[in-house]
Amino acid sequence: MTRVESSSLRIDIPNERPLIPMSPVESLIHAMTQPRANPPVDSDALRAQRRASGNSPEPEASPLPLEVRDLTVSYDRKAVLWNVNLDVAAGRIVGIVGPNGAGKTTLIKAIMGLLPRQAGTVLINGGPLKKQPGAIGYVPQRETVDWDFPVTVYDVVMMGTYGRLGLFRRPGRKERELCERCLQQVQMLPFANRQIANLSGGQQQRVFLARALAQEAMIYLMDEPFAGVDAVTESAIIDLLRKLRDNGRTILVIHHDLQTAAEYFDEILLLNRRVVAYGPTKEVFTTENLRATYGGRLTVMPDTVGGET
Amino acid sequence: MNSALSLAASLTGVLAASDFGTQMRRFWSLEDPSVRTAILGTLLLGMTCGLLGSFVVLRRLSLLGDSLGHAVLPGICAGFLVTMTKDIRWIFAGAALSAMLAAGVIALIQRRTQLKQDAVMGLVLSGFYGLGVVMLTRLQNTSSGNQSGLNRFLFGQASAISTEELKIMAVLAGIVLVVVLLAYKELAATSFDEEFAAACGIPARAIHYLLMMLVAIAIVISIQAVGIVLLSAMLITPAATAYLLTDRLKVMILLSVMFGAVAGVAGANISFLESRLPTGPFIVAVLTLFFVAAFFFSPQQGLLTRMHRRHRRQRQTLADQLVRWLHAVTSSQTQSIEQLSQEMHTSDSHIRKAVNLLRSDGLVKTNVDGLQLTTTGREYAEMLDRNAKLWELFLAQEGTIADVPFDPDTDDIEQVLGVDLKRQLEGQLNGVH
Repeated sequence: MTRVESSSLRIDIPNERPLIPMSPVESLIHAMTQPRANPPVDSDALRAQRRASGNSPEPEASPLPLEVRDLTVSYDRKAVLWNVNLDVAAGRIVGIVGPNGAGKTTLIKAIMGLLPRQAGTVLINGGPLKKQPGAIGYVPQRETVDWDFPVTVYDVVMMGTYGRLGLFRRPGRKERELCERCLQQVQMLPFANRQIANLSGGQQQRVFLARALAQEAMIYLMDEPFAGVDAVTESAIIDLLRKLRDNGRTILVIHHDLQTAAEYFDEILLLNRRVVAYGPTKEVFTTENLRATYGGRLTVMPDTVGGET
Repeated sequence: MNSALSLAASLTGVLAASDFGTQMRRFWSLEDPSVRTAILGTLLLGMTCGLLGSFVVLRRLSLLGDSLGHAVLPGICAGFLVTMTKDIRWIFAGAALSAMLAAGVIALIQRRTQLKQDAVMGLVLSGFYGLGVVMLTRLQNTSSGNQSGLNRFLFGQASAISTEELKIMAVLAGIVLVVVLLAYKELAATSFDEEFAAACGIPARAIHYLLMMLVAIAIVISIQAVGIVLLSAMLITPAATAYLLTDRLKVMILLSVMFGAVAGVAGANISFLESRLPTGPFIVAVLTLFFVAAFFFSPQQGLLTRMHRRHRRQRQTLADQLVRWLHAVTSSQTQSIEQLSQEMHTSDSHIRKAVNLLRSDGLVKTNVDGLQLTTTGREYAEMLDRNAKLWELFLAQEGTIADVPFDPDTDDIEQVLGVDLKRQLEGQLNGVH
């Protein structure tokens, strides 16, 4: 199904996408003409929809953890993301996949309000993020910080608690215990007192994960947590993500490795400046969709891809 | 001729031991109230700058400190113009406003143009400072301006701090301290990872401007004793020195505060010995001395410490190779130094140093013919052999066992891999046999 939107009214009309494969051109046209590339698959999403459009008579069960409506982000005059629409249910690991410059990092930063939005809204648990500090946990790319900074592993993880603590309040025993638990979960407790430069790449990544865990968020946004880590760390991270998911957390992960994408993620968001496709992995992760996402840049198809090759 | 004589006379006056001693005693006895004022004033400014400098350096804002430092000059002159006297309240207010204005202009240009930070800061620094020098020159040509001693603000004069000024300085320093204590968590978090802090809901931009305001206050406190020209050193040098000595933020801040305080008082002392000497350059000279010392002797990063460590490791590595070779080839035979140096392709003197090391550890014994492994030496050689095998085993399976940090300081396998992993590998090694 898909919807034709007007300012106050939504009409649902049937549409086969994305089950019937389209040529890249078709899908491009589709993406340009469709305000929403991803049909909501469950009734939760539909309810959230109706509530968002303001004509829902019934009081809500629980709102979706993450709803993105018509999000457009641009740097100066160049639009990086066009009309992104996204409904993510609780307890999912969603892979964000797309070529370089597709706007993956831009998308998660815009969701967190770190970048100004040109248009569109982001709803976290049905409301704006500003009113829920600490609702989103964040794992940035490893290269974004100075690892020579004079802090220990423990100090960095403690910074995860600062959002919840609020301004000018000091972390206490509760926060210290939380910190230790988070370090334990990523097996970094023995390294708690190390300065962060004296760690391997995989260990640094686990420190960032522990810091995000200390945020005790319901939604996690992770920017390439698997980049440049060793095999052991990679499997430790994916185990951790699954544990979080089983506890009802929603996790969005930017991912580059198409070989592992199908194995790691419940749902996949194919992104290239606009949403090419979004939905359960086995429906979305098809050759056609990948072609539409990567254009001519994808020469080798991963063997995990569904659909005819 | 006359002036040359008087210069010589004043030089001998400065250098005369008795005079020097009296002045030193006068300074350190703390009886003279103006000495106390100068000491307290330089202590306050040194500590305030050291405190804020840590954040300034870690946030890569050193050049901003320099820009704001120079940018206060037009404000000082404007403050003077209000009353046409050196009323410190107006001058402080003018300086603070001028610094904040400069910070605002920098932020504005950066946001509205594609210019990079260094160009913008250089632009604002020179623009404000140039304007200030023009105003200063004009003022000095007026009759009241001539008497004002505004010149002192260029290089600082600790002995010129009055009690009233000291009170204002104390209040301002107190404000800075309280704000930093309150917002320490926010300052630290935004300094390390501004984006993450913002994602957590910490108002990162507001914290940045808060820090800028605090820096402006620290600059205002410092202009009397340090002067405008060298002000940035107060913010940069103590913190940079502390950075070389520790990898903990709190320790860095404490050290930086300490360096600032000691250098401040030392500068005041020197300035007191000869009242015509400006204080700023002396404070900065002392600070720079601290930095040079840390650069060479810092326990982790010092140039000489590192060199020493490298030599020691080279000697140790050669000694270990020697032991393994002796053990493998000639377990109980005696070898001469010459034979060894030929075998190991190393000069006699290097071998001798390594042998001395081994002898002092009781691993080899020497007699007239040469040297021989002791029992402990043989045990040590066996341990080295086993560790080498463990390393090989580990490297062959790296990535499938565990993730181990590269530690440049040690190749002690247990320290690097941890006891558990070492045991696991040893199990494998024994299984192979």
